[in-house]
Amino acid sequence: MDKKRTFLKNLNLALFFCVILAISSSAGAADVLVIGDIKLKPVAEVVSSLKRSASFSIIVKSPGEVRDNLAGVVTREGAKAVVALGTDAVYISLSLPESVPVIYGLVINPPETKRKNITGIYMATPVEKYLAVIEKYFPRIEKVGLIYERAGQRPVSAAPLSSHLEVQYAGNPYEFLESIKRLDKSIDALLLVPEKNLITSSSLQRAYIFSFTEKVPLIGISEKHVKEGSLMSVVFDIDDMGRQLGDLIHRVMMHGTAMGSPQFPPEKYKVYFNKQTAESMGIRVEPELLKVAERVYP
Amino acid sequence: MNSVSSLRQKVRGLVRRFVSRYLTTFRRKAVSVAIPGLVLASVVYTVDAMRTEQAIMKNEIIKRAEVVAELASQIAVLPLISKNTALIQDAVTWLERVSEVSHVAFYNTGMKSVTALKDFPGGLHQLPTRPQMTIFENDDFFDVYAPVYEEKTKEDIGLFVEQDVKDESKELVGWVRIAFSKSQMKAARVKIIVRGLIIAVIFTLGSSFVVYRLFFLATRPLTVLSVAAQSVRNGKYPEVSVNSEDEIGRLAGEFNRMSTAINEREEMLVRRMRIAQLSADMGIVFTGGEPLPKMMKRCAEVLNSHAMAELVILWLYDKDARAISQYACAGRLMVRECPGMPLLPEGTGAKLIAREKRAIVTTDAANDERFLGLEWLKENEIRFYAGYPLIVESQLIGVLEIFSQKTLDETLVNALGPLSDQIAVGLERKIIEGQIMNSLSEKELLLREVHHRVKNNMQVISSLLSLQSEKAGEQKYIEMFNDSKDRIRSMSLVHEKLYRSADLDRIDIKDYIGSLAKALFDSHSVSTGRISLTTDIENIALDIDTAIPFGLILNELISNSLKHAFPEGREGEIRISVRRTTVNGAAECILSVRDNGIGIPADLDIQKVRSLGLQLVTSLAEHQLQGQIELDRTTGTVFRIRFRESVHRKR
Repeated sequence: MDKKRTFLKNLNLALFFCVILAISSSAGAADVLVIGDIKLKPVAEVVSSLKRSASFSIIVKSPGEVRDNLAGVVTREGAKAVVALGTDAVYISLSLPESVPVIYGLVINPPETKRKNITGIYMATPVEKYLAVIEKYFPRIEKVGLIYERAGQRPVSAAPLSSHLEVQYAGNPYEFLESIKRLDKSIDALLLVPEKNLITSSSLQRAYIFSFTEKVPLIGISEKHVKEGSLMSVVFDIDDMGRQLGDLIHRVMMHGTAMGSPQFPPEKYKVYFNKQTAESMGIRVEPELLKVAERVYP
Repeated sequence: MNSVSSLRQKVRGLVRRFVSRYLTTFRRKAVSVAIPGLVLASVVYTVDAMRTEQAIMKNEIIKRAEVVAELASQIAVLPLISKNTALIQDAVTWLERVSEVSHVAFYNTGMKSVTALKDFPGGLHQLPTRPQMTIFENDDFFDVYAPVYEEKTKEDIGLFVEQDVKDESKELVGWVRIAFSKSQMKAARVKIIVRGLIIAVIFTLGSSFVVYRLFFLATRPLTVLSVAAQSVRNGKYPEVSVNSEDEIGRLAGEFNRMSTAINEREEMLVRRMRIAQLSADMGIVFTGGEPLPKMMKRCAEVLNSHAMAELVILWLYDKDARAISQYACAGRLMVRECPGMPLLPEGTGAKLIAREKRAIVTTDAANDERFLGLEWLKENEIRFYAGYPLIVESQLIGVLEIFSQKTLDETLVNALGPLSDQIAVGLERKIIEGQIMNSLSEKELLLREVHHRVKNNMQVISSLLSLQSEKAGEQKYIEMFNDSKDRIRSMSLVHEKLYRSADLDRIDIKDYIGSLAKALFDSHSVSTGRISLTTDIENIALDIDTAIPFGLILNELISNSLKHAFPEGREGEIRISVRRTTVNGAAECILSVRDNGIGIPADLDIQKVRSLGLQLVTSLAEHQLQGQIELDRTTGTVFRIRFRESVHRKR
């Protein structure tokens, strides 16, 4: 009896160590290394969506963990692709060898790099999207102003030159406001372009003052802007972006490389609308807009 | 140190004088302590309140400065980023519209001024390493430094969704510095001080008034009690009116009861003193030595002076208490002034009292049936009557009657009973004294008569001896008769002097010696021109037991000198002296008879002499007077006899 007990006990221990070994070996081998700060809510949502839709194994590291030894981490984890979520993560991932495909996400515009083995989805809503919405729901807005940060370096999302657009350039928030003053009489609405160095809290505050004083509605970048007083905004669907990223990763994994892969805008958008702003500026509201809008403020 | 100690002593002296002169009442003392205390408390509270209020005001102004600085730091972002002069000027102008802001300055991150406007008062301060709002306090303003940040989104996603602050990147773009004026704070401080002083003064005056009123209300009953106590000391007994149920009210009640009790006791004492005075006056009357009628009159007057009655009568009965012997009265209705008064000489009341030997006191005498028929009582509105029998050893000696329109004081009425006994004893003593004096007078008269008859008898004997001597024939028998006659005369002279004396007990020896010497000079037919007599005699009185042997001795010594000292018509002097001296505490007399005649023989021993005269002298001196006899021959002949003045009285 004692021998039998001893045998069963040893058997149990052996099974336990086997399980532990299996778990540890699977943790050390991942198909995709995701770099992103999951403490940020959008990153966490994208990662969650990725995990739901992906057929490959994923390991998530924060930028701080991999900042100094990303290549080593990729090697150790055996990752076949790296997904960089957020500005910081993308810039870290640019240091990887060319052989490692990089897929980026949650950046406004594609990073400016000579790297070939890179692809991803940027967040900026293409100006055409805006113009289409404006044309459909606000037909009286004929001229829309745009202010970019640097002259001659228009982003991917920038619209082609059009008679409906009045474009200005600014180097800092003050010039941004000066540009607004210059556009004052010639535009029916001002479309805020996602330029981080121009859209600061103080400049945005002045811009709101300008908007309500001159009755020139602002077309915001985010739901937050609509809540603050912008007329409307067209914002990518973050959940769908996770799915879209998952598909893109899958294709890269299939081909083993991202070379030749284009940069993608989001595929799905949400419209937010501020009814009070429209009323205060005398803008007629199409009933259909209220139906299609993800949320109407206030 | 000396000057300090002297100054300290002066201050203490001033304080003591102030306290003794002005702080004489509890109220003043309490107020002098309470009011400075209130003033001190008011000042302390006011100063503390002003400090607190100023601190609050300062904090509020600093908070307002912080708010303005925070606003300025937000406004300064674009001007500092742009470095646009016009924009900076606009921001400065806008900030200076705030009334408390006197100066505004913008600095870049290197603390270089980007405002080319008026100079900011004061130089730059050393700011902390980590940029934060910093406030420095100057005399006229708060110097506030506020960092100016530009907020940028670190992550692109921040432009699309609301993120936490840590996702925001703050970049220091410069500093804004404002001078926040203290003028408002100073103005507020002046207001606070003025208001605090006004409140302190009002509080001090108000609370002092309240405290004074409280002390006044609290001590007023005590003051009333004090005044009442002073009145009690001055013999007045006011009633204190304090209408409260507290301790002071109870004290006032007790004071009133005490005052009433003292008043009653004092009145009782006064009444007793009057009674005592009456008794003393009565004692003076009875010990005055006045005759009985006058004494009775004085007794009635004394009684009336205390009773203030209309009539006081003192009846005195004879020995058998059957008839009035005499009476005395006093008062407004004295009997002599009312000759028609029908009750005299004896009133109905007195008769009743004499018969029953019992006192009668009534307050309605006019309607008392015992006084029916005495119309004068009604006519004179006599209502009170008191009659007392004067009894000594169960023997009625008189009646005392008092008639008064008003009822006499109860104490006096109560005292009249014992007083009537005192009067009775006094009158009885006076009566007995009169009787004794009468008896003494009779005995004195009788004694004088005895002495007179003894003297007469002795003179008869002397005359008989004188007649007999004429028949004797021989000179020696004649001399014997004459000697005997002289001896009898010396004794009869004593009796004569005695019955002529005032007290029948003693004779004045000076007078006696003069009379005796004159008689002896006459008897021996010696003129004072040949033999002079000189006397030196003190005022000494001798009783009859001493005077008789003294007279016999003196008779023998003078006769001896007249007969033998100056023979054959010689002239000379006889000197007699009697002096008083004290030996071992006992009074002694020294009789000295000296003559400057021929002297007695040297071998004469007076103890062994055969002469009858000298034998009488020796015998009388030693046995009758219990004295000592001495013969001195140094200057003439001197017989000196020392004897005790009162030796015979003790026998």
